[in-house]
Amino acid sequence: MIPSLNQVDSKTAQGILANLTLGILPRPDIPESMAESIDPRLGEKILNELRVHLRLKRNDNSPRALGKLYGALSEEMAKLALKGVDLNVVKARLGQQGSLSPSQYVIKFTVTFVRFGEKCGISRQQVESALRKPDAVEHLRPEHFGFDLEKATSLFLKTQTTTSAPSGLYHLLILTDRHGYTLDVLNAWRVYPSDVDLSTATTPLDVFRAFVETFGTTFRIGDKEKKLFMYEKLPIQTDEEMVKINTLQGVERLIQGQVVGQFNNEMFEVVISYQIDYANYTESLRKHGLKVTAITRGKFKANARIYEK
Amino acid sequence: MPSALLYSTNSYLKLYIQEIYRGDVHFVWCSEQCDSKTLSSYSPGALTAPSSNPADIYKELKRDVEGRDRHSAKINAQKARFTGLAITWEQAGEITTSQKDDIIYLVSTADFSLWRPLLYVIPRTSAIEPRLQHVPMAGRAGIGIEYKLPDLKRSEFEIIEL
Repeated sequence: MIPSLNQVDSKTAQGILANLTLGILPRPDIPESMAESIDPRLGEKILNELRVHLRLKRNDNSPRALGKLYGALSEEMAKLALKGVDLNVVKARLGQQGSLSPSQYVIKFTVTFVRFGEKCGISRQQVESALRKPDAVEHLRPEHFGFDLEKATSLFLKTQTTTSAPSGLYHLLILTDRHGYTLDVLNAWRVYPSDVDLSTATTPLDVFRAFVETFGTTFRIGDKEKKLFMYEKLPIQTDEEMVKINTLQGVERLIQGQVVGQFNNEMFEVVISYQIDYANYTESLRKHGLKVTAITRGKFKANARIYEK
Repeated sequence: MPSALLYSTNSYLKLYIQEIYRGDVHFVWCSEQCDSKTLSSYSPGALTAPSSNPADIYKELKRDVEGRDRHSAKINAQKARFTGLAITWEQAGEITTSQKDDIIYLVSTADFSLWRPLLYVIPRTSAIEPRLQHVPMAGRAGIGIEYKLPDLKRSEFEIIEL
């Protein structure tokens, strides 16, 4: 597209285009000490070549024309800079840190979602659509908690309305693991504002905490007992100490939980751990007019995924 | 008397790139008023050009994001800016080649929603004042006063989405 740069090596051409671009843009966001000027005749020639390619008149400086010119300059720079780069590696890196646009992730469903989420009236299409265009997303960054980058989770939220249920509005809450540019859907829940106190919730994580507060059960990891563990390092000596669930005597409850963690020098690093009481949860769904498919009963259906060191 | 607050409109992606790749140090252009059109016509701030007025920048960017305008001058200028900056930062040794690739890929493939505008509200504290760089007339689109702040820390401003 730019014949003037045909004989120039890629790195030099990138530098020329970058300096030309930053020189013509309003408000370039660069300290004057870093701004390098290029030969004005070369700059003029490159811009004219781009204008010819874009079929823009030489004196057309309308916002539309400038928009096309800036678009072409960024495309040319990107083409040169990313030539020979394995884009899947770049995508995986960005995906892992939660930087990709939602539409760029590959979505996979776990067995837990099939066994619990789907049976509680949430379809895969519904989840996929919410992941592609969420109302809110929160990519939890494990490095902020002193954890390895690969222990990454994301929460997505999408408000849904149905006409069939008496109380139509609910928030679809989706919990995923992030592996490169893949999102593994761990589970999804319908969060009805009439059932869960969302008065102080402003983020997907707040909604998740409120949901677990309502439908979760307390359990113990090591010495600590609570409803939700996230990115915590707990001292544990034996396997028996690992997870203990408080069951109400004489009441059979179906509990689904997620324990994701890793042993490290007698410390159990909990990425995320919670137990949802499905007896209570499905009962509340039925009150909202939802037909819930029978879920196999059992005392504890922990879906534990422990990464051994 | 200088205003107690400064205002700046920036895209979400700019905030993100500066947070992740620039050590959470933010380069901003700012004005003493959020919307120069609401000022008296005899006030110096009223002379700020629309292209430098935070409220106008916000509205234009929001309109282009919502309209998913592929030829938006505002969005394409930002794409070009961050692609150019990534190359410049890498050539100056300020970021690695992988980070340059990441920024360019991110900017080239970003959903429109990532370009949504954010309004920064910056309290004009004694720590900010000496770092404000007055933009000379030649660098301004109008005669209203504008500043550059090349080293704004995240703890020094609030973000509003309208």
